[in-house]
Amino acid sequence: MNKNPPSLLFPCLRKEVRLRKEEFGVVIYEVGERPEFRIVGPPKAVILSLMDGSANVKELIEAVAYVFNSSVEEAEEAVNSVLNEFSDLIELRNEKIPPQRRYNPQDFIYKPKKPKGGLIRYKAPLRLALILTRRCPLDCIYCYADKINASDPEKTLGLKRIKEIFEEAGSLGMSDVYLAGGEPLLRKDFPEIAKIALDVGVYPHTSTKGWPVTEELVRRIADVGMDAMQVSIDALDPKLQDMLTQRVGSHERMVRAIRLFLKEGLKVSTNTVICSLNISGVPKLAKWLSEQGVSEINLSPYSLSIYKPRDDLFPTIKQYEQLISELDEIEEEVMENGAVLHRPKSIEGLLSGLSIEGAPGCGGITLGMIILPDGRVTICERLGVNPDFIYGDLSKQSIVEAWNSSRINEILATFEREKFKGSPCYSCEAFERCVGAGKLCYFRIVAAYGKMKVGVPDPLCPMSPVKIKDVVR
Amino acid sequence: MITKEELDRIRRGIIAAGLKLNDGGGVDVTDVCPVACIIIKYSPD
Repeated sequence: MNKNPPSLLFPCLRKEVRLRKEEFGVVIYEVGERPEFRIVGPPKAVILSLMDGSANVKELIEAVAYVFNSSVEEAEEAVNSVLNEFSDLIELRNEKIPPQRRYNPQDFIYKPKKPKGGLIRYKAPLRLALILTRRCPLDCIYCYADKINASDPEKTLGLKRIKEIFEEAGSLGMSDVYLAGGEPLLRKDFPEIAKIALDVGVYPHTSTKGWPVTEELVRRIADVGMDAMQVSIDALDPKLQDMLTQRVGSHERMVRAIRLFLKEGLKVSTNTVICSLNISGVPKLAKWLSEQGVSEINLSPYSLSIYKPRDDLFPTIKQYEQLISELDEIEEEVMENGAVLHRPKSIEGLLSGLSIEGAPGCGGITLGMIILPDGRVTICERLGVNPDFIYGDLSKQSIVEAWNSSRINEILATFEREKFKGSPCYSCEAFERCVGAGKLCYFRIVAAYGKMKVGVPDPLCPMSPVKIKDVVR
Repeated sequence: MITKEELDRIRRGIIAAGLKLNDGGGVDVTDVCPVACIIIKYSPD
C-alpha cells in the first residue's frame, strides 16, 4: 500500500520490462509468455528510462522539464501520461532505491523514421519458437504439424549450440522462447534447455501432451525454475481422448501430467482443440479442469492442417452456438474456481479471423523467428520443412544473420505490389492494409494451391479464385 | 537521483536532435503485426 502522496512516490520500471530502439520508434514490452509490444516515441522512452527508483515523481518532472527545456506544467502532463499509460510496467515505491538504471536515456534521443509503406519489420526478432523435435508419440487426428514418429531418426541442435542461440536472444532483449514440438518433453535435456533460457532472461514456455511426463521430470523442470506448464487435453472421456490422439492411455497420462505439475507447485494451463468430435463435452471438461486447480483454460477451435486435412472435424455453426451458450452458463463457476477461460464468445468473433480485415498479419516474417529442430529457420511452423519458406540456418548462422538473409528478403519482396501484376490485388484499394500489412498468409496459400504461389490473393479474400474451408464446416 | 552532469548531457543531446517533449513515435502501434501463429495461442474471441 502506498502511503505517500503520488508526487512523492518513486517510479521504477519493473525488472522484466525491456525497451528496444527501432528505426520507427521504441518498442516497450515485458518479458513473459504473452508480451504486449507497444511502440512509443523517443520522449516517452527517455522518461521511462529515467524511472529507475532513484527520483520521486516531483523530481522526475523537474528533470524532464529541464532536459526538454519545457515548462513544469508540460513536463508534469508528460510524466503523468507515461505513468498512466504504462501503469502495468511501472512500480511506485514509497522509498528511494539505489539507482539501478538499465537504460541510458541518451540511447533514445533520435528522430524515428515514418515507414514509407509496406511491411513493418523489427531489426531483430522479439520472440523465438524453437521446435525441439518433430517427433511425437501421439498422432492426433487434428494435428497441424509436420510430425514424425517417436522412433524416427532426427537431426537436432545440441545443447551447446542452443546455449549460444539463447545467449544471442538474450543480448537482443528478446521476450520469450516457445519450446515447441512434436512433443517437446521427448528431449531428455528439456530442463537444461529451459534453464539456459531463464539464465539469459528470455522466458521459456512450452506445451506438452503429457506422454513422457514422470515425477522425476516434473521435479527437474521445477528445480530449474520454470513456473508454468501447458498441458493439452481435449476430452474428459478417456476413450474419446485416446481416439483423438490415436493412442490408448494418452488420457491417463494427460491427467497424470496435470496433477504432477500442480503437485510440484507449477501454474498449469491447458489447451483444448475444439473439433466436431469433442465439442459437446468441452464445457464439462473446462469445469472439471478448473476444479483440479488449472489456472488458465484455453479453448482453441480446430484449424486447417495441410498434412491431415479433415473437413469433417470442423464443427458446424449450430454446434458452436450450443457450445457458446453452455460456456456462458459455466464461466462464472470456472472463475470462482480461480481459472481464466479463453473461449469463443460469439459466432461473429469466431468467424472474424476468416476475413482479411480480422485476420492478423504474419508475425513469422516481422516479429518472431521459428527454428526447426536442426537449426533451419522458417517463416511458419505450420509449413513444416517446406524448403520454399526456409530462410536461414542457425546451425551455422547467428540469429541476426538469418533474420537478414537473402532468402528472407526474397520472401519479403513477394509482399510488394509489383509482384501482383495481373492479379486483382494489384489495383485493389485495400492493398496497403492487406498484403502491405503482412496479411497475406503463405500457409493458407499452400493449403489452397498445394505449393508456394507468388502474386495471388489470400484465399480468405473474396477475390481469390481458390477458396479454403477453416474453423467451421 | 540522476546527476546534474548527466541531465546536462541528455539536455544537450535533445537540443542537438531537435526533439520536443510532445513528439510522437514514427509509427502507430496498430500498424505492427502483433503475432506469430505458433507463439500466440489462438485467441478465439
